[in-house]
Amino acid sequence: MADFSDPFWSGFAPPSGWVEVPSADAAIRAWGPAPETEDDEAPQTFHCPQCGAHTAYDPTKGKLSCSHCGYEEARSASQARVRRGEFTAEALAAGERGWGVERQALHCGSCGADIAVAEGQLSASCPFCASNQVDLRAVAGEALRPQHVIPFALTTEEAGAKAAAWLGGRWLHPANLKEVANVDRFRGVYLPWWLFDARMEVDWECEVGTVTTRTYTDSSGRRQTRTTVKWRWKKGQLEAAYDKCPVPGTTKVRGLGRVGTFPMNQLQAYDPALLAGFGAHAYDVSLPEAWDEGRHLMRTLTAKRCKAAAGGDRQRNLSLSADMEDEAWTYALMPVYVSAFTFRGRSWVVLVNGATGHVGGQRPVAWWKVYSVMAAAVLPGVFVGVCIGLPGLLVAGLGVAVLIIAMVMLIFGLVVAGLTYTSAVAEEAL
Amino acid sequence: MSARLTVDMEVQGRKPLACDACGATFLGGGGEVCSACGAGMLEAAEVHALGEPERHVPDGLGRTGVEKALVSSVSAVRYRTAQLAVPTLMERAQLSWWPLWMVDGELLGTWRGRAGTDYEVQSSREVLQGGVWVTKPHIDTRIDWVDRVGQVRTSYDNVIVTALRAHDRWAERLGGLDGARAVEGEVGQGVIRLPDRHPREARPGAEAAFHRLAARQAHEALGSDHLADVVIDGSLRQEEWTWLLVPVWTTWYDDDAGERRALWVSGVTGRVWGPRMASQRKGLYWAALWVVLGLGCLAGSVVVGLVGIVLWPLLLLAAVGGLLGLLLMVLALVPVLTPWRHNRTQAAMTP
Repeated sequence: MADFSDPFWSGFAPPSGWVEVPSADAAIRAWGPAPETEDDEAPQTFHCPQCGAHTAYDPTKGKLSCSHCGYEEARSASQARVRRGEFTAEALAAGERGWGVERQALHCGSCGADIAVAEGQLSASCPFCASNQVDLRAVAGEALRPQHVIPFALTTEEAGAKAAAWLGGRWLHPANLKEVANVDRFRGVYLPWWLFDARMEVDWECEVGTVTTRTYTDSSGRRQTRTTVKWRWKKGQLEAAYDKCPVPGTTKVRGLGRVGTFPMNQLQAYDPALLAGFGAHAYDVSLPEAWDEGRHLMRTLTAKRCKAAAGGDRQRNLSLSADMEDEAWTYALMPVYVSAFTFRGRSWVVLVNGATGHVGGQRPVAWWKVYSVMAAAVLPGVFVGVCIGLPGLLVAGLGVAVLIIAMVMLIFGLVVAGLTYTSAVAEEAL
Repeated sequence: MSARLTVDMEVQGRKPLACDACGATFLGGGGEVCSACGAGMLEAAEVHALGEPERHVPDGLGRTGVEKALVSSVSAVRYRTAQLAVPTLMERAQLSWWPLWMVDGELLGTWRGRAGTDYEVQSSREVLQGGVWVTKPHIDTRIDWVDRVGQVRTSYDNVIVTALRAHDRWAERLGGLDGARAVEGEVGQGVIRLPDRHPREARPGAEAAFHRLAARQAHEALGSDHLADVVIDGSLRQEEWTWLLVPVWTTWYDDDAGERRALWVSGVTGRVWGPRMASQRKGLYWAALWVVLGLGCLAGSVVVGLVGIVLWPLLLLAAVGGLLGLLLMVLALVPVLTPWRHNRTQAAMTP
């Protein structure tokens, strides 16, 4: 061991917050940044320091606020350094384990009650004292904790207004839907998302076709057009980079694909205060499962880029080999308002993107309107063909041109009817 | 050793000498060829020197090894100069000892750098073939870098620093001038070349060498897989500067023009360096011989051709003879061009 009593050793001040690290040599001393501690795992209860009532995150003010006395506490975006996760054996194992319990107990730090919350629930409001609780202890050592969060930017009222406008927005729904559907009881909930980064170094090869159209006169003197495709092999390399490619981390809420994209520039380091007053769910889609989907998404986009890079009028027989580099994952919580309403004895789900206000979900369809439109689209063609074309052909031999026009009208009507029907079905499905 | 050596002083039985051509300084008997430039002679002179020999790298060649090295080097030269012969070169070969500084000292200071720890991640290669995606997983090793700062207080002995300004150039030419396999004790025969870099001038190099050693020591002390971008802000104390000597053989010959050319042979690696000149005169002699032979063939073919007017089958022999004569005259260019081309590459080899 070195004799650190020598004045030389005391003449050095390491940067603030750094701690001495072990050295196996008495001639060398070393310091490094203090290890990061995850002190947000302890259960947190959000109380007003003025009146003791509970506080919750207010999306309009971007602050914790007390609904009782009006106290506000600013929450600046956390400057904490958030490390992206990588696909180490430990992360994959933790990401696969997920939540090991079906239900967990959340101990209220305010009144002492034990609240039973559903599997994967990170936050709750105590039914006895109404205090807002956020607890990550159940996750510690068992599964991955959220690293990022996009805070709610809309209030419940704003979400409800957007949902109401959305419900009355199209002609094919019942006229009274907006009034009948009760979508006031929106619940703000943070839902888990996996965000993936990666770079792909790609070697590709494909056949590129150049289309040539030639007009010529045939032996009977008629003008003809001939289209030929000349194929040639082409190869190349490209680098594709993907940043925060999103994959939903839950299967509990259906229709998440309809809430649009989340503004990734609003991602903040995880702060339990942002969850106060809202529900929050941990992932139930494991990291390996989500990465399979994320990777597939990247592969598909990369294949499209390769085709675009190949150029030409057409491409076929694309083959490629892509080395994945710098793969990383982030576990983030995204704000979504969820509501359901009953109509015609059936339950319908409405989702509102808590950051952008984009609305998605199910809307009941007035099927009589849909069938009327379909009939109106098809009938003109049938009428022209049956009532004008056929008689004209039989009586005067002049109906061929009319029959052709009727056929075109019928095909057009069938296309419109088909599109209307699929659109209506999609409106009701989730 | 004192900094000033007068002509009447001796060190290890050697007198102070200086080259009458390049001014390089030595310790030796006098009358030797200068092993620095290969052109001048060493004469008694007052010289300045600091330090004294502490270790040396033993001569691994001896005269036999030098002869072998010269044979393989010289035999490759075609139409070589008359004096570029191994017996002549061996007769003139002399051993000299070239110096490196060996520094003992203590380094005190602070350091900073980045410590890296290896970790493994799962990665993959994605292959699309025939419309089907295949994932080929593999393990990648990445490095987790963390900043580090610290203090260092350590001593090193015999840190080697160059003592000749042209050392790096010579190390590139001869190799093995790095002092590996050094032993203690006095050197035997041969002149000792004196450093031409004062410790003042060599000090930055010594500090850099100490810093490199300290960085390596810090790496081992931290036990990390990597330590990069190490910067040491420190000073040297209690320095001692002595010499490490490495063996270099020198010999010489006169080329066609009577100009003295030197060859150097590393006593460590056996590598030979120096201009090995070909003789343009010898080349011209051989070319003339070929031309005469060619002309002879042409003349003979003319005579045979005249006879062939009467005895026509001889015309064929005359034609063959004529072609042979022309060929010999064309080939006469080879002994002219070979030394010329060879000497173009050798002439630039000046110390």
